[in-house]
Amino acid sequence: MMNSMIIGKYVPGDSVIHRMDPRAKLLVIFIYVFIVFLANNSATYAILSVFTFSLVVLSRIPLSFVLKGLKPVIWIVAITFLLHVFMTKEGDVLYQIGSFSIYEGGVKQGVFISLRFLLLIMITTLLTLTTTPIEVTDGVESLLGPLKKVHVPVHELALMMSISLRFIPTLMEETEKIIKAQTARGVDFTGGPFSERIKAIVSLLVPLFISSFKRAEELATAMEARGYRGGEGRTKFRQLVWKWTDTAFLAAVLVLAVVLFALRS
Amino acid sequence: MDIIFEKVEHVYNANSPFARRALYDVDIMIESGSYVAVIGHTGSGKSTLLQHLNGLLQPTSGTVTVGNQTITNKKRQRDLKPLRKKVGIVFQFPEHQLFEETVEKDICFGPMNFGVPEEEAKKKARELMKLVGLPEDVLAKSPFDLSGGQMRRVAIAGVLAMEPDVIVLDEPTAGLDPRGRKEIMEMFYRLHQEKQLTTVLVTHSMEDAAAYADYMIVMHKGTVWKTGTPQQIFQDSDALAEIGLNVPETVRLKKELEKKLGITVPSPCLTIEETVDAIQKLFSKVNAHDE
Repeated sequence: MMNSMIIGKYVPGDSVIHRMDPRAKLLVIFIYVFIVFLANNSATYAILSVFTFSLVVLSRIPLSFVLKGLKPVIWIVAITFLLHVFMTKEGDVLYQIGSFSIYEGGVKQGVFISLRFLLLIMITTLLTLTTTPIEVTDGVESLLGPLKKVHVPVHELALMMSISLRFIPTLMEETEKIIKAQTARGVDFTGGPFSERIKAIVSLLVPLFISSFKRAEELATAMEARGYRGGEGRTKFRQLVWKWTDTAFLAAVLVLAVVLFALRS
Repeated sequence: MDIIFEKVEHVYNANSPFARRALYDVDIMIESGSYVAVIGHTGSGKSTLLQHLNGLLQPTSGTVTVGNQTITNKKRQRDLKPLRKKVGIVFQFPEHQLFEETVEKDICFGPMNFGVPEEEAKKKARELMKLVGLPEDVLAKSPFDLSGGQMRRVAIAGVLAMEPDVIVLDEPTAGLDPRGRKEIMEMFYRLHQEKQLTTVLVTHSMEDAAAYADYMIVMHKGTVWKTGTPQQIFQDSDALAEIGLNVPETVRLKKELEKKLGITVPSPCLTIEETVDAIQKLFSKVNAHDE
């Protein structure tokens, strides 16, 4: 269960991508998510793929590691691909199986859409692989900073985000522990009739909720004991520094947008 | 029910970059009806070892035999359920497993999972309240309204209710006050004697190991470092210190006495009582000499 959970797993490193300002990374990805939809022919998809793979190479994270992150979504991609292959009726007929026929346009469309999916997931995986959760939240807080003027509780939102990220592994550990304790008491989490399965889930969720509430209270007390009073006037240990490389990456993705816009059909 | 480990190895996350070998070359034999203490430094593989006792973990290689059940890496989890009725595990902080609305329901949960009828389970729950030292009216309360110590007792009752032949205790008294500690350890010892319950105690307390166990397994870095009676194990305090363990206070007292006075104390001094006896003998020897 834990092994396929690659999203959120930071891989320490010292590459250009690792050293980027998290704000720049978030902006690049934000723009990327939109321009992915600009690509609509072979040339644009090729350029998009080259751009994405160059980023992976620059991060010096083994490609196999990034590809492993795609595993959980591979079924969604496969189904999307097949849907397009069978449902699109454009171009020449390639194959004819009974009343089903596969069109050239369908295959093309299927490949494009799946590629779009995979590239999107790859780039977001790359973000979490090269950025610590703390950096991401710092980045988000800083980028959303202007919203404070209209009374959006930006600091509180960022804090919520970092706390929940921080406690994912703790919760997973706790879950595993309780599963073991209840299994030792004869609960079968893997099968059995429906009513027993419900009971099994209850025996897991109740202790999990109770310990989470308890932990939340303890955390709040610990924070207050150390003088936490919210974001007002709070300085940061890690200062975000915008470097020329950050500007360069941002420029690169904007150039990419222009190129895609020019080449799309 | 004898428990035999043969060449047991356990690797977490096998075949992945995160693979970690937690146990290797473990050959042990736990005789039916014995009281065995497992000691070892944090991360020595104690917890992994004990989860093999009821098949929560299956060995990556080697075999674990519990009575007539053999556990290998090929066994399916579902086939291991009968084993879990025979081997009860009280995990660290067992109160974290409580979830029912009433104490009675929670205690009955284990036995009913193994097909014991409700009436019988309820009867058992009432009996167990006395055993774990709680008043009977607690049965109707919510387990979450109890104090920490009481919750611990309820959770222990929940495991005992399955009437296992083997009971595995993972630091059952962690976080309890000294009196609760003593009461719970004494209760398990009584159960062990009265019902010939095979007891496996994982502990950091050398005093508990010395006082109750008749056999000890010392774990170090994922394998068995030494086995023997408490007397044998605690003889060489220097070797134990090297792997981050120590000897009971009474044994240290004996060693210091021997060093300071240049004598040998024949008793192993594993408990307070034994130590007092040994010192008394020393005094009477000196007195006889003086007269």
